[in-house]
Amino acid sequence: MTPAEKFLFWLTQSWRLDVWIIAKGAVLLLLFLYIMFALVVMKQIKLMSRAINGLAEGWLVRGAMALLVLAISAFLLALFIL
Amino acid sequence: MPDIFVAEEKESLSQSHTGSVKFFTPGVKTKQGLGARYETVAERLVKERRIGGLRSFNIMPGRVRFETQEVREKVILLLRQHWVTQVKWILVALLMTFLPWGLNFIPLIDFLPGNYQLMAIVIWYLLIIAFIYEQFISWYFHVFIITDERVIDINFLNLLYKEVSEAKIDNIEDVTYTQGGVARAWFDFGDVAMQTAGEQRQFTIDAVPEPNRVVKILNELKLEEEHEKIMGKVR
Repeated sequence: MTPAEKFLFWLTQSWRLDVWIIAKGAVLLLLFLYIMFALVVMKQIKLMSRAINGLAEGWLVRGAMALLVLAISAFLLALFIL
Repeated sequence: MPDIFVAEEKESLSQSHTGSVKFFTPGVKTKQGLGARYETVAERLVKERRIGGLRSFNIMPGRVRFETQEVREKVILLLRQHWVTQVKWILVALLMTFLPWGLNFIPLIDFLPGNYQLMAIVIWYLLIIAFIYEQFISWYFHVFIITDERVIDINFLNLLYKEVSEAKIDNIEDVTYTQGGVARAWFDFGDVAMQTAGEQRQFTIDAVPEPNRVVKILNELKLEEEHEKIMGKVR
């Protein structure tokens, strides 16, 4: 057994590293990035509304908030069901 | 020595045209030529007011304000790209929406446990929502504003990049529009290009509805600006 194989064996056997734990971590990371994206969108909508306003910015801000709520809900859902 | 001939001052309403600047004086002493009271482009267009949050061609949108607007500056036109230009991403979004339905026939994610399959579909739809929202606000906030003093191009290329360029109406030297192709002829939209004497040499409004009307209004504003300059009313 090579040292690398020994290391992998140690990882999988002694730590009982599960591929689904890694998958769960990846999903949560992705959803965390999505929350960050939703926050950037909300901030950006406010900046854009400052550049030009008087149209339908209220609806867009509400849409951005809904996106953020959706992102947080998806994160919590992943946290509980995975 | 008495004057040989002195014309009587007329009280009646009279209208005449000098170029496209219309002179009118209801109930006021008529005075033609320089210094005459005339109907401005803004005054004429206010009767044809056309506003809507999602419209591509807004005439005299009174409520619209932009960050570098001056106190007495009036927004004459607010333009966006024609909705037909947005069909491409709308179709992509529709296709993406119905793609998970194909998983009934092609079991791509069947190797995943049930809860992971559910999360995969949730993430897929979140990505579609993000895609639609990003495309929509990029279109919505990419506006071209024509005021009675200047033209302003506000462009948000993506969520983090903003570009604002402007040119004064009196710096515009040449305005042309191009309208080629079946879709453009059918839906009446095209590109309006302006050559300016300022730092920004060329201004282009892409895929704007009714380009002939935009060019006409720009030419009228140019004439008005020239008239104001002669009258010494330049702001």
